[in-house]
Amino acid sequence: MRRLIFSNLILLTIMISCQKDINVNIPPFEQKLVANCWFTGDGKWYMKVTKTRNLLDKSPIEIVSNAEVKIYEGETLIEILPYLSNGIYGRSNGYCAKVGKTYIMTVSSPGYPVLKATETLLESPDVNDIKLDTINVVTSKNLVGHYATIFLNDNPNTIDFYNILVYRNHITPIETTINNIRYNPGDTVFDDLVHFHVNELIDKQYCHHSSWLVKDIFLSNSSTPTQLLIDHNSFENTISFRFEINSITEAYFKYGSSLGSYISGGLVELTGVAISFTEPMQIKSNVENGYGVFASYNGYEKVIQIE
Amino acid sequence: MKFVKKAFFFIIICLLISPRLISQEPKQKTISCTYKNEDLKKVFEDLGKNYELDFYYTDQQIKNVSITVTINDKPLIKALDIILADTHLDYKIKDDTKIVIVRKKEPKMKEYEKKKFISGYVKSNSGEYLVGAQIIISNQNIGAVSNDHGYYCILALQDSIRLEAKYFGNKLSKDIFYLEKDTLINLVLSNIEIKGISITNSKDEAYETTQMSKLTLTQDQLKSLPAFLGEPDLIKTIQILPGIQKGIEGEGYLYVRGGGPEQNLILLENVPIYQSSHMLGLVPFFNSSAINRVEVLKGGFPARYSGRISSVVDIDLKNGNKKEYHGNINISPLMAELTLEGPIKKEQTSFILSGRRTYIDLIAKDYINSLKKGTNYDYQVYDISVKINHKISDKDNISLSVFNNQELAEYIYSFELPTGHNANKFALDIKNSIVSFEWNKLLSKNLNGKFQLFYNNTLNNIKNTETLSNSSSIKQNTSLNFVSSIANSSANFDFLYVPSNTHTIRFGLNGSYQTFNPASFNSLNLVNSTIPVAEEKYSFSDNYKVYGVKGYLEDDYNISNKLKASFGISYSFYKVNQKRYSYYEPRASFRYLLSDHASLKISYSSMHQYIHLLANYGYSLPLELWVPSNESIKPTISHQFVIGVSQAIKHQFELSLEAYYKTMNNMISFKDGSSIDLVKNDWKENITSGHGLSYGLEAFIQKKQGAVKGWIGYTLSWTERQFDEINNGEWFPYKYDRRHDFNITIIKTFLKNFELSASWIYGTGNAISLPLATYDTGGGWIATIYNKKNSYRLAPYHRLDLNFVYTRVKKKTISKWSLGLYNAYNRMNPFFIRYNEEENKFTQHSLFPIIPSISYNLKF
Repeated sequence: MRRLIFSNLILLTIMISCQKDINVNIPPFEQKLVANCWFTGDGKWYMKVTKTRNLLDKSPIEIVSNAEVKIYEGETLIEILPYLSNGIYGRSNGYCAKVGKTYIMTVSSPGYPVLKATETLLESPDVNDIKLDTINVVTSKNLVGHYATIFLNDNPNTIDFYNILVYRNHITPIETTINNIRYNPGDTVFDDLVHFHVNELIDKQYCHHSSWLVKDIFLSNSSTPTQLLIDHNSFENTISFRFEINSITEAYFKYGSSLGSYISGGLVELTGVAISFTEPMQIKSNVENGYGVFASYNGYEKVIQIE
Repeated sequence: MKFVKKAFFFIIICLLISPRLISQEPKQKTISCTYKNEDLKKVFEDLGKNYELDFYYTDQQIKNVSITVTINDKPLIKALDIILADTHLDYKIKDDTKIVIVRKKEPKMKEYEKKKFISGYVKSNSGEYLVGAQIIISNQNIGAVSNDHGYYCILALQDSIRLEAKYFGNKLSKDIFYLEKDTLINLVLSNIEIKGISITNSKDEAYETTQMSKLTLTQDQLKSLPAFLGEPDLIKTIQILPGIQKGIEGEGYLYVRGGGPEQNLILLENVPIYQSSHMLGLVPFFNSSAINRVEVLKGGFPARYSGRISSVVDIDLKNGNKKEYHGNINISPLMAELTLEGPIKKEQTSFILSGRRTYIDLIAKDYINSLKKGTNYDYQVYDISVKINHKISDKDNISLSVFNNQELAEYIYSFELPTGHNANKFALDIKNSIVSFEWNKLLSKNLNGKFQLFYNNTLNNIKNTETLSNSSSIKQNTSLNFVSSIANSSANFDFLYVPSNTHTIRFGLNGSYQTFNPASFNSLNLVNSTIPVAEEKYSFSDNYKVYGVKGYLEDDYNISNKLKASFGISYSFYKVNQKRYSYYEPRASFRYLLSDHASLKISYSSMHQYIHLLANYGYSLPLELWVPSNESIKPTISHQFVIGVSQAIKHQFELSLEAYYKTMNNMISFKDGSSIDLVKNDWKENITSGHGLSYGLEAFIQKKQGAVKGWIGYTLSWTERQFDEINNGEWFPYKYDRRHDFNITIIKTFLKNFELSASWIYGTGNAISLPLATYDTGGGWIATIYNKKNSYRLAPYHRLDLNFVYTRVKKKTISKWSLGLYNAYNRMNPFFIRYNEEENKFTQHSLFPIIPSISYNLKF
């Protein structure tokens, strides 16, 4: 709704306002490294190093192929990651991150300050089960959908963060989305929470997916089942869903939610960057001396098939 | 030799006679005489000769003293009182015939018990209370200033009284009279017409009182200035005063000495207003025809004002004429307005009714809607204010005020889908309502009381409905409803007590109950389908119940002729849910007369604020949430120091200079990267608290008299903020940190019927955060990196407005045609700038180019 109101206002303003091109003397900006790194409890790994780009520079984002990327478990160096291609650094020793361990990443490249970030792999969430209603319902988007109920034991004494993903294995070219989340059947929170995912970590065998970042404000009662309404608009006989419930750290949540707000802010898409009309949305980062994120997640998954 | 003899006697008698020996009843000698502008020496000589009296004085004492007096058969004491009434002299009587002339003494405290009070109300001819009028006992060189209900109270030092009242150049003088007892005198100043422009207090008030940082506007002054589209706008007029700034173009908020818009206590009939601007700031929020007087305080706040930390804008509505029926019609391109006032019962009960309505929806709606098929835009604003005033007796007055305004915006659009016809309706509905009852009573000779009961309500409602239908039936209906509201019920008791001429004491108590609903949301989705329907009914509501009690005590203390002080303390108790806050707020102001035409003032104010505005758009939108202090949000606290001087130059110009230093703590703001999302209702998660600092210098010079009047105001200021979770915890400039702010306003009257006014304003450009670079976030998105927060400046803002008024006076009507030119030299001021990614360039958007206007006003 915010977007609807604001979009109308912005469009109206742009229509009625007079505009002229102006020269803005952009202050010099010192180029920095950007490291985006995710890893999971089941051994998945993604690491890419790029550089920032001046605002008016329209050349492709510059990748970094000569960086030295080190990963530490606590104080112990685990590996210096070899460069693969396209700015991506892979792993060679098959090391799998351990729950409760803290990992440190450093990235150095000649001429740039050394990046440093810390991340701890959390336990996977305590999910008893996920059930999917077999009855088709019509959702607010006038699509056919199903209710899924997650039986999650959330610790009421801690603030926890989750990433909920739903995949659908189907060829119909309609995007599967989580329509809404209910933390208690009868009450509902809305379908405008933070949609965020990392393309590179999405399971490619499922062509349709939806990913949310959720703070346990919606899940803080351990006895309350959480209900999802999933659009899929499919009347075929067999549909297969895969659910992932991942524990994520606060740093990852902040990064993802600030990026989600930035993306869904509306102004970016509508008008480019409307400066001075809104406060800027800065993307959170846990990477020192640069930008990006060093994040982990660890999850529960279940595949449910509806006949 | 004669002089030496008299001097000798004078000294001896002064030593012997300490108190005045009036108690020794003199012989009942009666006096009759008539003098016109006669030297006192000659008068004494005549009286001595005719009535066998001996006068003892020095030539120095009576040098250049002359009197005009007529006395018929008055006892000696009364006669001497009359003769010396307008002088600085007093007398002592010895042995019935020896009269020693002495200088008048300042009275001692115990003498007050013998003295008598003069009190009452000052009103205009039409029955309006005159606030800030000066009431003087000219022969005793004492006086008072009428309060916000026109009440004054003076303790007379002598029984002979020459009473005068002054109000904006209008003067009332009463013949000398004698006080037999405490006396109620209501003063009526006829032909009150405040012409021209003057936006500070009257000269005397500016020098006399300890109050500083105060500006006053009246209705006539408001209507004299250039106005956007010919519609006088109180808020936009206040925006051009020194120390007060506007935000961005068109915005109807006030930024006072570096404070935010939520920090202004805007009072309409002593009732706080939360929103003071309509959407986009196009339509003036207040109807200037219903306004009697506006006071703006930027600092040196008296203890009776509390609850906001940056300013007080106190707006009084007119009471209505108690003698005659009058009306006012105003037609501008924006809206039409009608005001009627008159007696319900002559001299006793009056009414004023004023209403306005925009009519763009009536005259241009069809054209706008024809531009795009399937769309329908609608926008209207109306308001109505009614006030009934009833005089129960000379000591009792009651009034009932009702104010209501509403803003409606609607956008309907429809289109065809393969599945059917899709119709959408988006509507904004914003309402403000006030009901206030006031009872003003003179409780005793020197105690005035006011009781007020009021209720006000602010309601924002946003609705969106979407209907999908085919030719036979409705397939789906989705509705969203967002509501934000504040309701406030309050009772005020205010008292003014004048125990003596050296102390004026105010005290009062306020109790309030407020309900805040920053955000509630519900959504309903109804689907007609052959398969089961998803139950989709969502809602949340966020309510706070707030109980508040405030008390205050303030004392204006005349320490000496030159030094005056005002001390005050305010106490507030505040309870929201289970959280309680209570604070004391000390206030102090001092005034020292540097000369007859100059004064030095210093003040300190401590203020608390229990209400906060969450907004990150910097615009008057219903998306801004008013939230109360609660368990996680502490009240905002400020301390402000002000020092200033006022100087009159050649009786035509008045100059004031003020420097201020203000700290603000527990301010709240959205964290970096956060914004309001009505649907999530997660504002509590996304806010951070921090500090603010403002300091600056304001210079103001104005000319009140002559064919050319006006003022020049200049402000040099700095305003900064610091939040732990914004800008990496570093201090940054506030977005409306404006280093230089300049305004010159000139009004020229010529050929009696013509008036030309011009106003030019200049302000340093707003502070913004500029995008510097981009980077790959890894999730498939490119993000923007900004420079340090608010470290880039937009182009300066400047604009010239002109207004030409032709007035035609007939026997029973006064009509005015106003031709206005907003932004006369078509300056393209930055509204916002935008980085256009496709064309890789910056563009600046400006809202209002040169805009001519014509408006018509008829008074009858």
